[in-house]
Amino acid sequence: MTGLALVLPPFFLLVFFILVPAAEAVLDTLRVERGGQIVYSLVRYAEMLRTISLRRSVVFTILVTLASVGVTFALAYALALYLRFSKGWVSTLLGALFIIPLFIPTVIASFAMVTFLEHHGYVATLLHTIGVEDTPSLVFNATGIVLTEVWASIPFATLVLLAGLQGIDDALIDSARDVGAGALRTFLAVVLPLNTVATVITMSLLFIGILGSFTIPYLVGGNAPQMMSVVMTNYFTNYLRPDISVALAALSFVIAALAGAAYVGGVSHRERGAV
Amino acid sequence: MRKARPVQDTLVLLVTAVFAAPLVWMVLTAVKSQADVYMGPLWPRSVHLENFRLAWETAPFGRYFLNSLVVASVTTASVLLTSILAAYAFARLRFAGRDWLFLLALGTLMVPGEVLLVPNFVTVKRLGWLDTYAALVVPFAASAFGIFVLRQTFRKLPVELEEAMFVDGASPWTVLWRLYVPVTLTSAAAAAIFVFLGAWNALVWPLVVTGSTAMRTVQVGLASLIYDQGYNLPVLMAAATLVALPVLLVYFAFQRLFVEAALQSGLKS
Repeated sequence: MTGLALVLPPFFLLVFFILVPAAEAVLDTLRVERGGQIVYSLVRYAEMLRTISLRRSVVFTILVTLASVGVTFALAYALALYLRFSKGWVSTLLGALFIIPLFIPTVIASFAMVTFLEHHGYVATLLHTIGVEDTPSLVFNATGIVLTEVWASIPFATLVLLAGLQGIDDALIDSARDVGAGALRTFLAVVLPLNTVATVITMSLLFIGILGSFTIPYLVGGNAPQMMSVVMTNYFTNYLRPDISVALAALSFVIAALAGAAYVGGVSHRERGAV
Repeated sequence: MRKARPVQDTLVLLVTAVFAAPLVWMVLTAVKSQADVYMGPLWPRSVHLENFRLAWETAPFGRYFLNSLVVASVTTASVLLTSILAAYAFARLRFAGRDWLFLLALGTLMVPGEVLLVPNFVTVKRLGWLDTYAALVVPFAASAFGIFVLRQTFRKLPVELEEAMFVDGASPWTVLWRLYVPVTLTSAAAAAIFVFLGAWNALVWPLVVTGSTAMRTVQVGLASLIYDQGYNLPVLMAAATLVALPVLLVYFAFQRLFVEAALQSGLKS
């Protein structure tokens, strides 16, 4: 009884401000008026999937999210490995600065990225000085969104992966080296399998976070196609179609739930391992 | 002695520069003249500290800071309190439906914010909370992330310590506050930092539920300034620097503690 009493206050808040509104939003998308009566139908979802621009937006969102997660994960893993196994001033400096994106408002980071990556920005100027004349477009498209999302997401991903890596006993790594395993073999045979749960959790949280992000796609993305979060806002505020906006949000929830299932599975796996 | 690895170190230094670049750009732009921003070099030709005064005078940033401080502090304290209680119950107490409730709480992490924006706005409006601190704090007073991190930490403590206290006649309440809370301060600090940063940097929800200047947070004030002063990038970046400065100063003062806290928290597998 005590346990339930301790859990109930936060659980009530989570239910009242997250689970109930989410369920309500989904139910709203299913309610349609026919002949003066409210019936449940998938007509809004059918309309949504028939609209070419919305279909493109869904595909674009998934692709941009997957690319961002992939690049973030690869870079964050490399950083976490470096911070875990390297000593010295370079490592200390990196350890102090890799967190910075957590402290910069996303709006300002997006502004900075636009300035760096635009056609006559600092990156183009730098490439020009080393002889690259034709710089590809790096902003107001998928590339810009991916680059900015990666920059903003790396600190959290690195922290989670690094926390996982710190849980690996040095003796196991030394043993692998003692029997002649090189760095790559040690990573593939020892480090990666022992850090699987942190890997799954990092990728799931990255996927959900990037899928639902708004500010970066809004400021750094192009006019078409757009990420689902931006399209949702447009349908809600500009096109005055809140029903389609919420239907898109519900679809985004279903996609996030698939990643969330991997996350919950990862946590459950850890629980079973801990018993 | 450390082996010299020039290629690896150079690469890492480049990566480090990439992380710092937007921060450096923001500060350098804040002290430039407007002409230098678009046509001049990256490094300012002359320093224009008056941009900070202009930014401070253009909008009531003192009020914005106060609002952000109140909202972020109260949200953090509420999340810590509710997370500690729930995490202890989930980690150590037995009650019907415990594991299902925990998975359901974890499930809230996967709900995208956009789904919640409209229904929560309607709820907050019905409650008469629009343009109040309650609207900015209460919906975020509990966090599945906080519960998860602290629960993992509580589970790492040997059960024998708790059993010894029970044998001595302690109640679950005493065990929680005398045993669990003191030894998990590091994890609580890590969770607190993430929650505080989330509340400090929040933009969309405060933008939706606040209407008056008196209730705006620093991020909303900054966003409004983009519309008012978007053409004047140095003043805008001076404002952005002012907004980011308090959290950056706190971070650099406690940088080692912050990273250690995050690493020692329940995030560790």
